[in-house]
Amino acid sequence: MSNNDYDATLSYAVDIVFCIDVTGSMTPVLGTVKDGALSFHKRLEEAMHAKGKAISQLRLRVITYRDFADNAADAIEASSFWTIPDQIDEFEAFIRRQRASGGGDEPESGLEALAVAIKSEWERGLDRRRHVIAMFTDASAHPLGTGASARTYPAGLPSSMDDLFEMWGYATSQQAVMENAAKRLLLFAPDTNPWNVIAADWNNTIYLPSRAGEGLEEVELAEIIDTIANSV
Amino acid sequence: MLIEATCDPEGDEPRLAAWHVAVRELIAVAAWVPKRPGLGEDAEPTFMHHAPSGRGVLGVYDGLGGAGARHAGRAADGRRLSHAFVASRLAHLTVQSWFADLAAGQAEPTLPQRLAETLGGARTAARNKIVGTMRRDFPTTLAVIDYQQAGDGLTVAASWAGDSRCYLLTADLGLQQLSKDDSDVEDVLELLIADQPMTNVVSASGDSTIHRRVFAGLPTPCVLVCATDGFFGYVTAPAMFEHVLLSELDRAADAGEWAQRLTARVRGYTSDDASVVAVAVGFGSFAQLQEEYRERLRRLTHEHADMFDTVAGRTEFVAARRRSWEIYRRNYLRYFNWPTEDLTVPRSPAPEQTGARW
Repeated sequence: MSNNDYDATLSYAVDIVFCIDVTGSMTPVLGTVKDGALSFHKRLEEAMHAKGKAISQLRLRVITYRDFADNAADAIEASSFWTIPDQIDEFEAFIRRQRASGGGDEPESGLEALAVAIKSEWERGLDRRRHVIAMFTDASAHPLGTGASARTYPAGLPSSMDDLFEMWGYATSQQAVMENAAKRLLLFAPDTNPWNVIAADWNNTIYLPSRAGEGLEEVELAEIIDTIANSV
Repeated sequence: MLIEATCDPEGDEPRLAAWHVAVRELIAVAAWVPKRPGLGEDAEPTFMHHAPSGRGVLGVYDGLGGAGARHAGRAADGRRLSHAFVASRLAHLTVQSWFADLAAGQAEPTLPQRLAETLGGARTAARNKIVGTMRRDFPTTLAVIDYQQAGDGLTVAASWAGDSRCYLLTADLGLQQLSKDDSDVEDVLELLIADQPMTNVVSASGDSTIHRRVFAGLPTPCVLVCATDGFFGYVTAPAMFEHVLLSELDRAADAGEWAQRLTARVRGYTSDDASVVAVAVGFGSFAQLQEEYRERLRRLTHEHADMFDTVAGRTEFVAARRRSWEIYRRNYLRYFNWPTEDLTVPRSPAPEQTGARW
């Protein structure tokens, strides 16, 4: 389509939020997860480029989490969005300094991390927005609100799975925080509640059930990248 | 149909193709443009016409690359084929088989029954580790028009699933969408801007529906069009898809050049595999077809294309896009809420574990 002064080509504004469990049990796989996160956006760009899909803006954000019930002081750390490629160094430095430790008992604060991700300052202005949350964990999750009395517990989070589902939204929901056309939820998580329930009930989910101590295989990552790139 | 295909200089795999045929008072053109040579998820378009009965069918098919990213097998030349790639081809072949039987007087099995059998038969017992609500086995859209000529009129049935579209194009009212996308959003401009997720496609995973609308006594001459979103989903405004069709018609010397021009034009603006098939019914010649739509093209250019040629910056562009749609929508949506019959594609039984793999 021709335009004199403005390129009206429909391209994609992509925001990706990585939620990464950095508790002690992630030690065997955290290196693989970090490599996956560091390469994810490049591979997504390549896959979209191969399809001829242009990216107008790419932003990345990282949320790492442990367990509010174990140690509220280091239970969650959330970055702002970095615009890529301008702020790639900040993104990579944040990922590289992550170390697996702590976490206490097996359930972790994954639902809090997911809620914080959903409440991200997503791009709202450009055409063809895509808002991707990628969750990496090897554990189940505490019910929402566990450890909520802690000073570090994020404000304004939902208090139940039903409320979290409302934030994610569905076809006719009125209170959704996520845009229905834009949202994608990618889960690398064990086949246990709440992840298997979310994967089955929420729309726009891609779920790779993980096993303790097993990383992400190359063929699976390639298929996931294809799924995201081709659904963008 | 006569086939004009441009071949990859490195091999025999067609990179894209344009078809055209003129028989009696029918002129048909089709364009098929895979984004990645040999890996496009759109199947080749369908056009079949059965002269003795005056019946015909046109259709397009767009395999869902995201939902159908799963590996399905390899082609003889080593290409890694996805469920999406295979699904659109199976739908294409199934529609052609269904129509051949229909033209011969055999109405059963119905198209949904045949699709369930074909797509279900492609499934294997091997379980994929990657699941989730975005995933489907052999998912594809389809948009199919079957028609019957009767005197000066035309009875048309539009069948579709997903976001591929069926259209009627007349010289007085322009392009009119006969189908309605499977989406939670109805606004056609919003669908263009946001590329909304589909709420229904044909697949082997069950819960599929084919929608069908019948339009009796449509006046001829007219043009019937089926297109995938690669053609209509990357233009600046809904009106500009019609402008693409008619401006390339106007510039062409004959039907073959119209098809070639559409192929070249869409490559310049799309970010997806693209396919379109158009069948002009009731025109005595290609020159008459051009003449019939010349005034419509002039109006489209004046009301829409010229406006986009002068915008400066995003704010002006967004306002122009909205203004264009407000002008265009009244006739375009004429059939948008036409009565619809929903036909269920039966769920295929799960394949038995045999150990066999593709």
